[in-house]
Amino acid sequence: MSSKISMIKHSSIPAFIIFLFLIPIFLKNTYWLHVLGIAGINVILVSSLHTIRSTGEISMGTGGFMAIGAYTSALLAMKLGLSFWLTMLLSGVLCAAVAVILGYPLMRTKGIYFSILTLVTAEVFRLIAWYYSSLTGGAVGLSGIPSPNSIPIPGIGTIIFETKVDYYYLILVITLLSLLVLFRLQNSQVGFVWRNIREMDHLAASVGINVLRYKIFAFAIGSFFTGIAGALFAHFMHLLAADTTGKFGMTTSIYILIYMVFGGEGKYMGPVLGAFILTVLPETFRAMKEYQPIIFGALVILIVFFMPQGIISFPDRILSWRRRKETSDRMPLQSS
Amino acid sequence: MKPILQIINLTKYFGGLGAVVNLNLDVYQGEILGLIGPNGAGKTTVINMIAGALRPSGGKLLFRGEDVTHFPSHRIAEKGIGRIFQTNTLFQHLSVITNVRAGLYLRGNIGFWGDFLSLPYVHKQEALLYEEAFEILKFVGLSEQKDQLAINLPHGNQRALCLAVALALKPPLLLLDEPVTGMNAEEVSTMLSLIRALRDKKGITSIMVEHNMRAVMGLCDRIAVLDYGKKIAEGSPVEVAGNPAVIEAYLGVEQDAD
Repeated sequence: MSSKISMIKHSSIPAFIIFLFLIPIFLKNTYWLHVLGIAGINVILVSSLHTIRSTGEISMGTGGFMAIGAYTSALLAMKLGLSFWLTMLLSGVLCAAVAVILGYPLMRTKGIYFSILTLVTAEVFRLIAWYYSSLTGGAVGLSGIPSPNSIPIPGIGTIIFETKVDYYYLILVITLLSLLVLFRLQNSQVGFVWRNIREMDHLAASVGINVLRYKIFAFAIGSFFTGIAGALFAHFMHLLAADTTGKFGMTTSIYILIYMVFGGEGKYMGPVLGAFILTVLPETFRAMKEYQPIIFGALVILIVFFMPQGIISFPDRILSWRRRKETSDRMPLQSS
Repeated sequence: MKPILQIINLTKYFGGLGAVVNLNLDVYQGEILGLIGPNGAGKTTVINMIAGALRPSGGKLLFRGEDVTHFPSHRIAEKGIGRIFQTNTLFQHLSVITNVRAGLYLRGNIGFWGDFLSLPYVHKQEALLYEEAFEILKFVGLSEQKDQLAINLPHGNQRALCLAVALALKPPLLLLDEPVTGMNAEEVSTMLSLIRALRDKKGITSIMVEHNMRAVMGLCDRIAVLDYGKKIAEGSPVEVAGNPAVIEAYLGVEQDAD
């Protein structure tokens, strides 16, 4: 039975990806295309967090690294006139470099201590952006961030980035590429070692695994893609602000963590699903104004309470419930 | 003959408490050295320092002549010192054979890009590694259970699996921290003959911390006794058993079920 299910899973993913590419054909509403764009960025963010999490640590630095990515890409494009495609990559690389430098001291700590240190460091990054107003605009913000540079395709035409549809495809492609890399890592020897570190780090060390180096690598890769997401965000919104309640504050770091737990840490697609649902669903409740955050909160609480393994565990729970029901039906004299 | 491991003035202070004080001990190639003493004598602290899990406060550790005193755990493993832990430290949710495969990390020889791109040579290499893991399982007697989850094994088999994982390193020196703890008489006897076979068939040197006196007396070539962090006796099992200081410190108080 499970091979049938894996067959369904394997054929449904390419089908789903094709479906994602076809959405703008029937969805013309620019508001919803914008929401889907934000959802894509959140998917990259949550998958980055999940990558760091696979060594057992929770980083609360998402907002800060996103700030580095966003401002670096925006400023390089605006002040030096560099192409978006270069600035986005440079932002990712810079975030990775910062993560490596921070990682050496930080990843010697574990658990709550590591999380607090990442939280504080991220706030420092945001505050630098906030107070360095000559560069970043401070309270006024950084506006006029250019769109991604057009891509000329010889013989066919030019890809330009103007409408929400263009941005939708941009974010879709970059999100898929990011997920491809991150999922491949999880499935490789590196991912295997990460999971072993998470489960028993002293055992891993005793068989020769350099635990610190692997943890820093996870932190760096996660931060690279967080930076990419930040750069995407900057050139998507064309405006950046580093205030406390903005996108680069602690709130984002907390929300991305919520998306991950809500979706389910156990499988790679869990956090992706969580980010997608919790970005898109609240928008459907926007009409309810004050009740929107209450509904969001209630939803999260319900899932964490009744399905702590996350939304992604729903099919498995149905399967095991059915199996339990089968066995109890076959043995009527036994109480289940 | 030069010892495979030289422990020179090894010291560890936890605050003001001397857990290990100026320990001097030589371990010779091919022997099984017992390290015994009452609870809290510092035996596991010594093991942890040799294994790189704890930083010594003072002293030196020379492995095959090389100073490994401040090496972290993974470098100690690279040098060829394997260990098992006091508790069943395993990758509980992996299968038996995958646990050993995890132990073969250092012999993986799989480059990052080959692995990331899932190149064909990686799959061949993986198959070879799993074969090697299977051979190790055969040696410890767990080949039947290779696909079972580690968490589902009975305690004695888990202990044997811990040994298998450590053996994946092909270590010239093994640190065994209470290898037969919690085992019944039959399991103890199996484990002991395994350790003996390691010496006889593979030339592996072992340092064994144990409370089970029958095991220690029956298996070890030499024994060192610690009490309050200091070595109070060293010699053959017969010599140590008759040593009044040792008897005073603790022999005879231990009451094992067997």
